[in-house]
Amino acid sequence: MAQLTRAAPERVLPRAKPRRNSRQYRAAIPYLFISPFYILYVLFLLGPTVYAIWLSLHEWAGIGPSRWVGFSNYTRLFRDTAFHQAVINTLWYVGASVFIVTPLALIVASALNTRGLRGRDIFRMAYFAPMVLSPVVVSLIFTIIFDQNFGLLNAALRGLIGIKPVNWLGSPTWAKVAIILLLIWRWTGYLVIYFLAGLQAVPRELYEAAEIDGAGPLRKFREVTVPMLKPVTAFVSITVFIGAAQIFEEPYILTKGGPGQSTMSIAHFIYRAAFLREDFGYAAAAGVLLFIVVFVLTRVLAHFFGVGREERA
Amino acid sequence: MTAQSPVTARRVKMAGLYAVLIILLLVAVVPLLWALSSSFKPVSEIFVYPPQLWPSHGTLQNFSDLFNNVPFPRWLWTSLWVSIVATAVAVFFCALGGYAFAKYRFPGQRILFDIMFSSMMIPFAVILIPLFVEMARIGWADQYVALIVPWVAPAFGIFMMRQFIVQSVPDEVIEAARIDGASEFGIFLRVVLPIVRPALGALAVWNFLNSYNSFLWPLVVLSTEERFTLPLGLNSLVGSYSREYGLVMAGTILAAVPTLLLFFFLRKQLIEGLTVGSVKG
Amino acid sequence: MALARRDLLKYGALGAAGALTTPILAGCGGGTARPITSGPVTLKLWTNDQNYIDFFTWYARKVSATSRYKYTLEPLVQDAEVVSTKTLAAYAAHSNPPELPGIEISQFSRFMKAGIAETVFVDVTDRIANIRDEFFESRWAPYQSGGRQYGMESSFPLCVYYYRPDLFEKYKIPADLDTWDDVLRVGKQVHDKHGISLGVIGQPNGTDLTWMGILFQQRGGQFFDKDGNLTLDSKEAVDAAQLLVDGVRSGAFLMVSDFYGGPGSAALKQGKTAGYFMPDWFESFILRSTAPELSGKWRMRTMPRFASGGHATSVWGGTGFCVSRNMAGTEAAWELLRQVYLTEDGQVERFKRIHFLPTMKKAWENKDLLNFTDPYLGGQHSFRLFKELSTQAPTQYQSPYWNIMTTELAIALDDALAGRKTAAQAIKSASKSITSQMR
Repeated sequence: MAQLTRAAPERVLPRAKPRRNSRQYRAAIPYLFISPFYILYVLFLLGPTVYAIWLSLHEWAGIGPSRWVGFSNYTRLFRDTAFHQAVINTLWYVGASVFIVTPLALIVASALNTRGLRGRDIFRMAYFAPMVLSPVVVSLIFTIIFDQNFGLLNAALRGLIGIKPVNWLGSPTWAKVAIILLLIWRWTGYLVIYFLAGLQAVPRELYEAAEIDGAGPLRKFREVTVPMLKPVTAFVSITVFIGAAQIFEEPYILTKGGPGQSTMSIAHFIYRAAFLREDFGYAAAAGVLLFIVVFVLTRVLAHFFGVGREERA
Repeated sequence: MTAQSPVTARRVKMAGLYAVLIILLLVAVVPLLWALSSSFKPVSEIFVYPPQLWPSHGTLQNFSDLFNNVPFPRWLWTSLWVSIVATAVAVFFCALGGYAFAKYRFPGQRILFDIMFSSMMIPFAVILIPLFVEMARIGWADQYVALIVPWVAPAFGIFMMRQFIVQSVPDEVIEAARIDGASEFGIFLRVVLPIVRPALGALAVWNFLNSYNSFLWPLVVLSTEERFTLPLGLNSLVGSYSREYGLVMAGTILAAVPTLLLFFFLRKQLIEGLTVGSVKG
Repeated sequence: MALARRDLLKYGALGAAGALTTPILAGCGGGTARPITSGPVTLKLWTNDQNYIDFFTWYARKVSATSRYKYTLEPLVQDAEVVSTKTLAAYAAHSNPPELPGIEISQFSRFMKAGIAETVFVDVTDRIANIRDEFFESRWAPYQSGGRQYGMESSFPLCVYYYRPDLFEKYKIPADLDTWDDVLRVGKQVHDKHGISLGVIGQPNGTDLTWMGILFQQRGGQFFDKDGNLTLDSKEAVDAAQLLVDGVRSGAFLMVSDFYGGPGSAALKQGKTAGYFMPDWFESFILRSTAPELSGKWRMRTMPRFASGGHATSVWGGTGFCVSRNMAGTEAAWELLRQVYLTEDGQVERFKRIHFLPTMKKAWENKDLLNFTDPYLGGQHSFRLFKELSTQAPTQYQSPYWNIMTTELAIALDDALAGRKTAAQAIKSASKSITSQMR
């Protein structure tokens, strides 16, 4: 791998005064730098989190006393078909996010990174635009697109392929497809930003060297882009995974979890248990389960991407 | 088959590329254009079928209603300053924390990173009420600080900055600066940050969006209508049986403008990050 | 190493302290605030409909002129589900809850769990005892919990059939539709020939029971009885569900995925339907705002009836205003609510200003109201028709399990409407599933 250094100027900065206890000072620096997060974490996140775990062993309606129930919330979850459904639905969304949206975003970002492309700004802004609309309007628009009788998509399909109107929002299978389409529409362009930011840092020289070796776009992508982008890809994939596991908005605003519960996500299940059914202990138990599963799977993903074991160039 | 000249081949490839990109652009943008044009339609025209992309009786009524009948400017202003403040602070803290995890080796690093990392996986609905109770207890209920302070060092941002810094900032550059006698914080400010400007931009956009579109938390925290953020304000227009679609459309379009503007202004940052320079050896 | 361990211990201790101080939300209602007995008082009014805010504000001025209180109202409007979530959160955190929460009927069950209502609302059973009979009992019922009264109804959502005589004439639809069987028969013909329906329903989608609720109650059934038992598993429910299924299948009823959004509006404005069976609020909130160009083209009449029996009308919707207890403004809030909702003048003015039908019997005799004509309905004396129906309204009983019932029944109906289950199977499976979750 080629060495990368800036041409070192004579002095980067004026010589600083020699510090006393410089080694101790240096050892404390990283802790200092991460302290904002930990202060906030301890003050605001840790207490409620521990409380949530405690709550998962109780039954509580939000107001009034709570009642100890041990693990019965968890056993109830394992028997709850609505929860099973929510898990399966969420798996679909996670799969779509990690295996469709993320690679698509990477490809589009690479395409946008093409040398000599005009109007890159316009494209980027346009792809980003789906994220700026409020959920109310997004759901309005998409019912207009997906409605069985009056929807644009069916009208287009009828015109182009001549098939009978698909019951997008009324069929358990198609509703999931509709939501996945919504996910792709909303998130792809947004992820392009991250990949583009990462691609900026890949030096042109590497591509040039590969071209001199006779590599076409596919080989350049495979041999230069993908390896150089690994930390960013890791970041995007992992956060997409975590985000998709907790997905709430898209299924909620498009179908409210319906038809039936065939599009309900786990986060929606938790929200419903907590706020619509005043069953906070149950919701907390589902939250704890979700956390454990996501935590374990994320570790696997992180290991797969080598997060924390980055080689030095 | 005659061989094409490389220039023509390249032109064809570029044309194909543009075609695909333009199709994607239309897919991304047409729904927005519909919302935009609907904001200029009288309510009764918004839902004609088939949907019209161009208003047949364009009107500014929705916008004037938005400014006269509901406190839209105040909602917008509140959302804007809260999000900007939160984003500015968050970008700084996240870059700082990400840098520490990326470029330092210190005892307990592993577990500290894991704790930070796992905090991203806590479902919000579960901690919402306890967190709100805490806010109430410290007197922050119905206060703007509750909208900002708990969220100024999001784990997502720290993780993101860590990855970007690992990828783009070579250890040698940091070492060189240390040899030159720079302070650790000085290195962070003057060496690292400029290199990862694209990532800072991306983080700013993410954080701004999150803060700006946040609904559930401000809903629970804010009790005074004067303090409403934009999502709360817009949602108050969608009543139980009546929905002020005209206002909602106009409000949504205007609400989208700051985010698009932010993106527009940051695009230079997103492009012109310091490119790490010459190849050696 | 030492440094790191010390830091971790420090963080751990702080964390534990944080964890211990956060919970302990045992019971609200501890610590009674000093009640305000006269003079200026500010009351928070949280609800889902701006109309209530406008009316309360206007009437509060009237009341302030003659009362010992001088009212200032601090309103907050969000959609029904969200405003109830916020209200519950405020109670849970003892953080400035509203003195006058307006709870939409479908959300009231959220306050019935685990004695929440008892803890946070004023029990008004005794306060209304002597005027109770002056009101329709059917509108007291939905805001009771454990047999005690907590909420005051804001409207009387009587159901009628709105229709377009011009479309009836255009498509030669016989005007004398008496029973739902007639509607199915005629609807099928009209749909086959002209693609027009006689009614529109929204897809349940796991959440919306409006049309099942209307028909089921009209048929004489109820979801829960007075004691909170589930009474869904009944012939009436099957009949209502069957009507929905037959209606959609034959085309007599048009089903749209979003009744209140794009598709529903398209159906309305394009004249894809010649009628709607809906509560009174449908006309004010949907018809008039979405299709002002159709003003004058609509009329209203009684709903077609079930041949096998039932009521002439039905109900769906409503909002109950409660008073939060143990607050400084509690008595002031009760006084205001009493004046606005429990006096004849308040009831009459309520209709005049925001068109919500009265729940007080005497108010229905008011001359001005009886002479009310609706230009959107071509000048029809709509109030008089509603008056006839007011005495025939079914009583809707609540239960803490209303939400669960809604979800399970809506799911089952989705199945029935898609043909995956029969109506009878749907009712049976929903009942079973609801009962198993009623603990």
